[in-house]
Amino acid sequence: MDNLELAYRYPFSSYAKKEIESHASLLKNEYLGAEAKKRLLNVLVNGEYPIVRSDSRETRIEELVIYAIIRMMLTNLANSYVTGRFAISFSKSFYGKSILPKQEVDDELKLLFSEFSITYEKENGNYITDVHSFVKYAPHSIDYNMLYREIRNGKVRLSFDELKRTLQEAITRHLYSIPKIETKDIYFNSMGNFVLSKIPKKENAKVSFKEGDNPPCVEKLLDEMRMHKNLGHYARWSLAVYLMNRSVEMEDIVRIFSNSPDYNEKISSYQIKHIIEHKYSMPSCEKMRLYGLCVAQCGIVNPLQWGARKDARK
Amino acid sequence: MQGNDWIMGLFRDYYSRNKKSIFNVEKREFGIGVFGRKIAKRHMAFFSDEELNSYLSSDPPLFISHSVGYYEFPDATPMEKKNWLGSELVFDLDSPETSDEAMKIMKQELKKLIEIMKDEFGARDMLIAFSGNRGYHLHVRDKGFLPMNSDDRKRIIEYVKAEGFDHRKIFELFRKRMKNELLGNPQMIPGPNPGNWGAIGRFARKSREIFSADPLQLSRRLRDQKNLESFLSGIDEGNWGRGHGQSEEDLMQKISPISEIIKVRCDIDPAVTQDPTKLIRMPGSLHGSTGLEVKILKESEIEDFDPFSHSVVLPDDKIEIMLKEDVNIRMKEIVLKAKKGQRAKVPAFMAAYLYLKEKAEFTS
Repeated sequence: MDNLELAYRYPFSSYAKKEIESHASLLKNEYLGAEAKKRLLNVLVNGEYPIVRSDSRETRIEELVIYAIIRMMLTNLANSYVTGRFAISFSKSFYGKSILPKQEVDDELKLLFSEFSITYEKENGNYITDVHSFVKYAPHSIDYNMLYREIRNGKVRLSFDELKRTLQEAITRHLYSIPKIETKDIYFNSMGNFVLSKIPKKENAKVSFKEGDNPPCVEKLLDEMRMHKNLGHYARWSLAVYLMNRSVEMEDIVRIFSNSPDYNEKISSYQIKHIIEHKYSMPSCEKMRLYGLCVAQCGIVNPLQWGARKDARK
Repeated sequence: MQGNDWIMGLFRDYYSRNKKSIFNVEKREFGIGVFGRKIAKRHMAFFSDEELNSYLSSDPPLFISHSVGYYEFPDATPMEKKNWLGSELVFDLDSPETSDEAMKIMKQELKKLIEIMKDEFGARDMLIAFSGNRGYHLHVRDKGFLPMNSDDRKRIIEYVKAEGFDHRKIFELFRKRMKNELLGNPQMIPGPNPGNWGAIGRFARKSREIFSADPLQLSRRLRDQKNLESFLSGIDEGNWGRGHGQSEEDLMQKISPISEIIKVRCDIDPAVTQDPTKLIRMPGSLHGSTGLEVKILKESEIEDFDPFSHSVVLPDDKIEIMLKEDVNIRMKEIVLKAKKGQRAKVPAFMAAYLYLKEKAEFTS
């Protein structure tokens, strides 16, 4: 496989970076710039990034350059919401198209793992990776909780699918990170701002919690939501159940969740409605700990007791 | 103040006679503290051990800490300009008291932590130090840990403290894995075996150790040697259903306390482990709240380490003090048991300790 093909399939890789260097003049091409703006707007409004598959060398180069222009816009905008939304939309299309090789023994896969310094070896039908990569890239879910994993001598045992999942997480994390720049590039910055000006304005949530109204775990989730972080399933579910139990209106819960980089109004509304209709109870502090969401020792057994404890201390 | 000046004189003398060598000294940010403030100034840098030692002997600080992080420009401000190169993974184990019993438990937990870091995380390059006050520090310096961010470090601390650990979850996992084998064997309770890696294996090993020493904790039937052997060999094979005659639910309840034993149970300051920009007391320095040395220890020295003997490095010439409260203290072979208001002639190291703890003042 030549460098262009690798670069085109994996535009976030070092192969792409190398390839772009030989097409640097195209980064300010008017037609490709317009296409990049259109795609970024689509990401922001609809949460979709179309990945075009083609055998034509010309199209491949163009697709690579469009991706690079979008990354340049993101770097210059330095806006965590926009970057996050792009990362989520790109990942969704990338994994949806199953671009990663499916075979276990695959040279291309090996190249990708080495891009993120993830080492692995096969042992008795399982895979062994280094614990540092696992800590860094394993999804934050109970299924990947290290306490229930086999860990020895700096190595973790996992299945091929789980190993591939850590690679996906590494790619997504990479998409989330943008380099810090000292001086903005006026060209890409104005392109990015043009795209931002085209996004329809949304209404803010009318919830006004005061400082100390919520337990530290919930405060952290709300903060992360404000910072447009992509929260995991249990984090979202716990936050929604908490807000419902604190009698926050459904529309306001949906507005809070609209900060999420993968926000989709229809899906969010449906899920929150489901939570409200089923009157789910708030997970206990023990459960929150198990989900990896507990951040302090507050001396309560359920996050909803926070208010009562606060009042008792007055 | 006279007492403060006397203490600083002792510190100056100590640092003039004892030269320090700090790993990656030129890449670390340093911070110093004065009476009443453990960190009064930070963003300092020393480009060699010589420069550090010259500073310590000419202008000794009461407290000196260095960053867990390595930087290209350690004295630059703000933090972003330092250009972070990576951070050691540091655990700060603290005890609420300094009784012999509390310090003994602390050592056990420190050894447990070292074992987990070595056996499970593969750590090889570690520095162990007595904190100079009521605990221990463990610096893990292996390359793989250096680039970890705060979230990654949080995962490790949750792991060593086994936060949210639920032994039932392990048994659920093994039941799922072995669903085919279970078909013809309703008595089987699939579970971990001592050969398993990680917390799972630790749980099995500890259970085996506890129930082979005291089988009646689990079931009267284990009084019978044959039943006991069957139970233990069952654990070795990953079947917890043999020999004890208990229901799975009863077994789950009785083995529940072992979940607590496998945890590192002392206070580990999460802020130190999680924050890659944190400052930690400089190994080999003097602690400004005790006058004791932040002593670097070999793993083999932990067991017999006595902070009130082995970390006492200040001189022993006699000084008269007056006690501000009742004390009962032993340092080296000297014991002082005295009442508030009493005067006593004690070695300088003890006078410094009591003065810094605000339990005594000098009479002249």
